[in-house]
Amino acid sequence: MSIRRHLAWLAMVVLAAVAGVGVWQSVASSSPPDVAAVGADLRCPACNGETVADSGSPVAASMRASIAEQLAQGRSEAQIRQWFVDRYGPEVLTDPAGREARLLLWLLPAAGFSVVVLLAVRTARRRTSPMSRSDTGRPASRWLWDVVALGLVVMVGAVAVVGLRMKNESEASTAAPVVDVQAARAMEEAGDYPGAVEIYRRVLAGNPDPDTRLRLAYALLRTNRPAEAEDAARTVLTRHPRKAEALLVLGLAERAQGSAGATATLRRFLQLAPGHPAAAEIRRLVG
Amino acid sequence: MIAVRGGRRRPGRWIVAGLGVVVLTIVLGTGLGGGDESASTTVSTVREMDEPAPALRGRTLDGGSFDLSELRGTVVVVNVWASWCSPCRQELPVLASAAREWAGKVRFVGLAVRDDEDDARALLREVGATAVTTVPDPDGTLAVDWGVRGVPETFVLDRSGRIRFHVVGVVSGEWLEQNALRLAAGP
Repeated sequence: MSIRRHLAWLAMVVLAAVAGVGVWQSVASSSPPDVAAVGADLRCPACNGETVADSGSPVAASMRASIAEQLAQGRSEAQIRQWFVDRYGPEVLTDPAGREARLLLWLLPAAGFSVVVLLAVRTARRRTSPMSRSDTGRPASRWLWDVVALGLVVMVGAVAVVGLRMKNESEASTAAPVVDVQAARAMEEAGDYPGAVEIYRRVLAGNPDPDTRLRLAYALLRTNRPAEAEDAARTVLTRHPRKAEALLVLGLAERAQGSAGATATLRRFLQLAPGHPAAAEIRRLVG
Repeated sequence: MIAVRGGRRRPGRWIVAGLGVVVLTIVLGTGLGGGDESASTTVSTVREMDEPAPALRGRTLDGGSFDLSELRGTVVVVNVWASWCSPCRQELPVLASAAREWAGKVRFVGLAVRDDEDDARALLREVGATAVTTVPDPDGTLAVDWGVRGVPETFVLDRSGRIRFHVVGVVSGEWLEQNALRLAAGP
């Protein structure tokens, strides 16, 4: 065998070994499950981008207590995951596709790779056989190799792109700052409106949810920043023009700045939500 | 000759097989990597359902014992609350009033989640909600068993113990009348 062929075989063996290690790593469980490991697989249902393991919200703490209880009862990680799916739906899982699908993602390229190895072995045998030597150099055979090689490159590329996306998503969820709407509400209740503003802004950076923006607008109003509150309320109203709470905060923000349009905005709020808990107070304000 | 014929057939087969693997990989990869948009948080949403209620039993804040399964035959409203939750404090008087008014028709049960028991008792006294049987849930595991995401949340159970409504957020007296009381008045 020539040096070139030796190198080709060596490359194939190395690639096969790397693929084997990858499959093993994606399937093998390195340690018995604990609360943090199971909690890392579950989304906190009341938070934005946080897992049950990371979140400081009351519901995440309760879910961790429930995981601990179930682990003490001897339930497996898969059973506990399913228990939460039964109660919160499949969206409670940080990786709804599950390990089985991830295994398939590894096995499929491995199967494709095996096909190429088989082809290579067949060709190598034919090359050593004098009967078929004339076939090996044919353009059709070369063309076939080109197609298979191209297919393999595309396949590996697709897997790499998907794998990178999955990795980025998981990194984003674990490296997210403490962006917990409930924590911000607790801060509001404790009177720490500047702290709540900061948290709402961080939450909104990852998830532009109108309800969170309204909470931000309200917290801004309470920290005497009516101009910023007005901006936030107007942002919500551009997408949701009939959102009564947005009109309420906008009207109050306008009023705090002495704007002439405040009364009209608050009247519009009263028209949309005459039974709102704040309606009586607003009626008194607008006269 | 046989080897030559086999060689002529092979390219087509391999091309189809190779392309099949590529397409399948891309489809599978796309399916796994996408379609996982997290639902945005909503408040005061009502979900109609028809599922058996999880178990709910334990001691009550007034020192008694409670077992939900003993209330079969009665429409039950299970309210999940905490004294540290402002909306819950606004909602509890509504529930207390309905519990008094509809006594014998609809039974109101509270689940005080991750709450200081003295604070919870004080709030019940303050809003006149002592008629609402309340089970403390100090670590929140009972609430998680019910699929609770936050407080307040309310479940309306029919006479056979099945959950018919799940409300995330505050409920009004009007809503309770239209749903829980109507359920109690039904066949």
